[in-house]
Amino acid sequence: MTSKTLVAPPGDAAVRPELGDALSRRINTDPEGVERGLVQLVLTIVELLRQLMERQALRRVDAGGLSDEQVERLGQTLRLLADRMDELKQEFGLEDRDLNLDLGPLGRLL
Amino acid sequence: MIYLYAIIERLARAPACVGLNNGEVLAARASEVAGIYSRHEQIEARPEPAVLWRHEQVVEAAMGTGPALPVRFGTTFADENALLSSLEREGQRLSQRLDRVRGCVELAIRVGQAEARPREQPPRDGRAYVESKLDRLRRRQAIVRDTLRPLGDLAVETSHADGGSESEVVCASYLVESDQVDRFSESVTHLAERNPRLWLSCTGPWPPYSFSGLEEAA
Repeated sequence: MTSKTLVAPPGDAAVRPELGDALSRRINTDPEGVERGLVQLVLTIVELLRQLMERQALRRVDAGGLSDEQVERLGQTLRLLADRMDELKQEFGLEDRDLNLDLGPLGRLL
Repeated sequence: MIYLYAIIERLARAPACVGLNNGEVLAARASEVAGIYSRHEQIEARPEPAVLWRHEQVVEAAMGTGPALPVRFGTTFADENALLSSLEREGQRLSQRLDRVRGCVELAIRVGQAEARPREQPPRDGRAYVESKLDRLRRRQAIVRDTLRPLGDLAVETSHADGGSESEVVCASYLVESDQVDRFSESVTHLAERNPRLWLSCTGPWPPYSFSGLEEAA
């Protein structure tokens, strides 16, 4: 294999762990792992929708035009959603990097 | 089943190498472009290092014969006719992309905070939550706009994305002329020295995965 690293950060720690991540983004569908795989898939879709909603909301806030009360309510909703996702991830032993899918020619979902 | 590696110019020769499962690498020639592929009874391209590198080797060999648009790992077609039909449909656009990447390679940059930021207090209210998210967005924009600007000046085309984690703020790809790779790499080293609060990594040269325009075709 050819080394592709032209400039490495100190310690090189930030580059290498990601290869493992990139190779493990498949849903586990063996009989023992199917339940966890299904939860992983469902939470991935939920996280996708949550992130899309959050990005759209931040764009609206950044563009201005929302009242203080609207920003507050929006922020509270987004925070509650993020907190609930963290709880679900913890409950099922999943990390952020588990909630992603490689869609082949379409790239990564998140 | 057809496993596709890259798109090349219509008359460019197929690279002299073997593909996945030691399959023969062939060229399917449409009216404007050609596809580099191997034929298999059945293939499941598992994302394992040796298999990924074999895909990469075929793409790099294809680049040795002229401009090539790398196809994302794992792309398959039912047969040659399905591949040719797709190449005919997208031929004009792919041909233009081949011209765009001619003589160029992709270099990948990742940028993050060198030291972990102090753990922030949970946002006290909704506005604080929004502000913390906007702060991250603006930090990323500032890195792209200010810190990475010298790299953009050396590139033909750039692409940026959110790094996706607190420690990694920006992932960026640069389409760079092959003879500018050393200069680009030196510039990254220089930027890293000038910005000790950030870490920067640079990998490549890669085939122009981020600039193939194939996502648009999917």
